[in-house]
Amino acid sequence: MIENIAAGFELFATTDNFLALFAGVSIGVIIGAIPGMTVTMGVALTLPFTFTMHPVTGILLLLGVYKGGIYGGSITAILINTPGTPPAACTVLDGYPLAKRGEAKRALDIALYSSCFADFMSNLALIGLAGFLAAFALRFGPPEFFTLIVFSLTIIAGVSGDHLAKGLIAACLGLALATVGLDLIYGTGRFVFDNYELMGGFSFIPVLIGLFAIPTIIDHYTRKPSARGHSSTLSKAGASWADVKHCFKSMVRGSIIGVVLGAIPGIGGAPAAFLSYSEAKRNSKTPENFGKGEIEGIAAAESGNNGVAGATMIPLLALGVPGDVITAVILGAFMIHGLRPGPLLFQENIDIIYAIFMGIMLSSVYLFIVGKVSIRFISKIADLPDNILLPVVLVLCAYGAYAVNNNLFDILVMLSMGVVGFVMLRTSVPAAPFLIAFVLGPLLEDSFRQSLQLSEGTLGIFLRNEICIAFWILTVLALVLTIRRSLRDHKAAKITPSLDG
Amino acid sequence: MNSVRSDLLFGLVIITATVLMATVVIPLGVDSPGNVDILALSPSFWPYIITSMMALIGVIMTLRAGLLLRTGTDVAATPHVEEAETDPDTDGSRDYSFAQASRRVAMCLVILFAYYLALEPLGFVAGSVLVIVALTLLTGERRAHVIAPVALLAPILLYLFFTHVAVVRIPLGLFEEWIT
Repeated sequence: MIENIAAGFELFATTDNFLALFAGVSIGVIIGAIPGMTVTMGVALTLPFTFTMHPVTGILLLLGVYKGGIYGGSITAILINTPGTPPAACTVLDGYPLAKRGEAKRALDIALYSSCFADFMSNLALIGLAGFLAAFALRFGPPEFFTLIVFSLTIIAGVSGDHLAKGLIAACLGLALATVGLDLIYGTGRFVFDNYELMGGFSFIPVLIGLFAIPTIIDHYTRKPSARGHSSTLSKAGASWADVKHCFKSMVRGSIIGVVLGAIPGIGGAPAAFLSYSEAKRNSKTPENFGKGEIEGIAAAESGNNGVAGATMIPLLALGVPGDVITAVILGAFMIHGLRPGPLLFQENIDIIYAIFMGIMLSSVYLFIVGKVSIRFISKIADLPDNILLPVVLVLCAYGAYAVNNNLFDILVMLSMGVVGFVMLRTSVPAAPFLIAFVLGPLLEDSFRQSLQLSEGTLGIFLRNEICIAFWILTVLALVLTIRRSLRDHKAAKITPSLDG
Repeated sequence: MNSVRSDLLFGLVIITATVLMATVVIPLGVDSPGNVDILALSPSFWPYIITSMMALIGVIMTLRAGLLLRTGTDVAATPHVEEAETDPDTDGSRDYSFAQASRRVAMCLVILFAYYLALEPLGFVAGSVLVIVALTLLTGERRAHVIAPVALLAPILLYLFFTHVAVVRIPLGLFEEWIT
């Protein structure tokens, strides 16, 4: 064991590895911060540079891009209401309101601390619990996915605020929008209307950008110049130790959620972020502040989404199964260098595994350094006046939406969703439930139908083991708590005017 | 409009929309093969489930609002108070009048969709220069030394980044041959 660790250290401790990892994290943060540039694109673009590198150096470069990219998405989410990546969509909910209050640096700091903490926890889980979590993850089939997503959707009640019915309608609209495209099982069109652009469904990024960034731009023109001023006055004050202490529980909870969901192939960062956010809100003493600039909301979202980063490597390294597109590209990098992840890699190339583990641990430190430096420069964006900033944001969004599929149609989708988002803003229909349902909708429907295919139509499959039953119990508990809280608030609202009167 | 009336209207709009979805949009928009053995596996099953949920919420909203109006319950007693009525950002002193704001939103939308239409013939760089100038002028900014550098630099820098760093081919429209 000690010999293997020493051999791993020898492989790892080279200048090339240190530089590659640092470059990877820096590239990742920049790519993640640009709306439309996904982490997958970043990793795929970096892949050709690894061909001539040592396997460990190449893989660490890709891992750096991956980890930096997941954090980078939160920067634009907080500063300009535009999530750089789909998992950062949850960070928008509290990050942008904080930035509008002039607390952008505090929000960015907490996003960074939560990301680094969750990333570190995720790395520890990868090193210590890979075998156990991989075995647990293998028990997840379509029925377990379905019950997990149903539980995740209970957050909709929480993010709807005072407009529960409108929130539920928004969620239904999000689910409906997610059905557009070719049917997964039969391959027939749904709401395609012979338009080939619609066959693949709507891409996440143009919809996300349209729903959050464009309404802010349109709404800006309804305000008089005296009421506009700056997008936000940037306070120099970052997050305090008290903020970190206040958010610590949510960071730990979010990291655990991220690790567990990250180990399950096919889930990704967005559901982990939403579930972590939902649990933070449920356990908060001030749940009413969520969605209005609650620092704990950012910590929960970012820890949930970054907790996934190390854990997605668990099925890849332990079983040779890529959990998402990014780890599939990393699997490709292993194979290009003649390595095949899985149990055999642990037997034949354990030194490489240890070297990668060491690099992964160092990536959390690099993420902190790169994040701190980038906050210092990027947060200056918040000081620009809206008159100048918002037209530039529109152009950035257009380039980003186009870059997803190299398709002008995505810009039309972005602008149309912007109009929908603006109407929702003005009619007090919350956008968050729409977004959550749109992101989780395809997973929900696909797992539901795959389950019924497996069981030949028998609904009993959704209760087939203790994982499914546990998620149903959690769902019922979450709904009961939400209804109780709603009734209590309703009662309090009735009493207050009568006291005033 | 008070919140109960707006909820009533919203509920009625939802009910109408779901009826249209169930009777026109889903039958026309979803191609269901004839040999589906299990109803829940049909491509139209999920859209119908979503429509039914929306209809149910719409009916509950309408009934609740109707009941509150009938019993004459004080609007203030309901927690559903329109944000637009209470948000200090939208009071008369900070916002344009409804007519002025509508006109400005319409102008903004015309600029946004004209930008989309201009991207193919003019390309991203020229189209983006024009949209930045147009939107900045709409905000009331008239200083050329402020508008010109931003309008020129931002699209060009983004073009260079996406083309050379991200390796995404950005269309330049009629300037394609001229530049390349």
